[in-house]
Amino acid sequence: MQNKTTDIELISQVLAGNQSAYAELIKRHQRFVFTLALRFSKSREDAEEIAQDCFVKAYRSLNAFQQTSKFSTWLYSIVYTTSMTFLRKKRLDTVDIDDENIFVQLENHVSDFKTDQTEHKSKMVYVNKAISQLLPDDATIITLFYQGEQSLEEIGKVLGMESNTVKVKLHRARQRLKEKLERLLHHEVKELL
Amino acid sequence: MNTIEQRIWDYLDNSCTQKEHQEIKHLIETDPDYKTVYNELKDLSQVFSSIELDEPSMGFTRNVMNKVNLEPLTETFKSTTDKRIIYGIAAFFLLSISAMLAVVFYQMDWSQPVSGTLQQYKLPDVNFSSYLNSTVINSFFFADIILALYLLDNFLRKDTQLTK
Repeated sequence: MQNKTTDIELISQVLAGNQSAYAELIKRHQRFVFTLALRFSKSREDAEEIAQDCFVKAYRSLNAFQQTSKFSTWLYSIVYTTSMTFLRKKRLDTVDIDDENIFVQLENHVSDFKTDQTEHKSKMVYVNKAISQLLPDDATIITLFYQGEQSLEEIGKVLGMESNTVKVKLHRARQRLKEKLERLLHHEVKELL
Repeated sequence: MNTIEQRIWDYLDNSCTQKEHQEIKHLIETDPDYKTVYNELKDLSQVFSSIELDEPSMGFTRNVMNKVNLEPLTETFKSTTDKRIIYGIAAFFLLSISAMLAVVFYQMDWSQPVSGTLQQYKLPDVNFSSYLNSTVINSFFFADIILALYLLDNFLRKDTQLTK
């Protein structure tokens, strides 16, 4: 039977002076933190910078983590705040461009992921493309719910909202994602699903 | 969003009450409209769940740990230090000082001399000019310069690591 150290145990080890235990925490959560950051930044370089920044911030305030929620929930709230700050700074640089235009421009962004012809045919490429076209809040809620396995209450903690608001936002985000998928695949959507 | 869709999402997310859950389940089994929407949303839900997470670069953990290693340890451990230890150390020093003062006062001769005049005490003469020659001053400045260069080097190294 695998005896995996829990996040809380690893945090205790870090606080006791074992800094290398933090590397294990990073390895566990880096993919999700990076994906969340990517939902906001739309660029791998920026997402990597945001994700690194989040882990350093989390380390600095590790002793402020009250353990009333899961470590992942606490960490994702740091990612959300840091990403929002990043987005605000970025918006200041592009004042004349509204959100819709930004994301229309970003439609071609998926080609950066160097997907080959075979992958273009696959379901995941279309889904990822559709997700990248969503607004960051919608993409974040869907990612937290489906990939982060966070409950509506936990997502509420991350985003600083009531769980009922999250529920409504999740419904809308799914609807928008479905529409994006349908638009991308036209008539193929039924076949794909 | 229509009501059927909303209700079925609640059913799939398990975000409805037990009673509602049973009700929707019954509707899916009996109502063809509910069944069609249920099948569509169930498939869609599976697609959403199968979205893969992106992978950061290979050196991600190492890069973060390099930054973390530059963080001062005291900030992390500040609150973990047991306050009783600090109070214990403070109490030890206070007790030692108090005991020493008590012994000093106990052994002191409080009786004044009859004549009422204090004896004159002359400090020994020290010739400082014999110690402060040019060699000593030059050595002092040389040590200062070495120390300043060492501190500047440390500062620049830390600055470079932070900007990486």
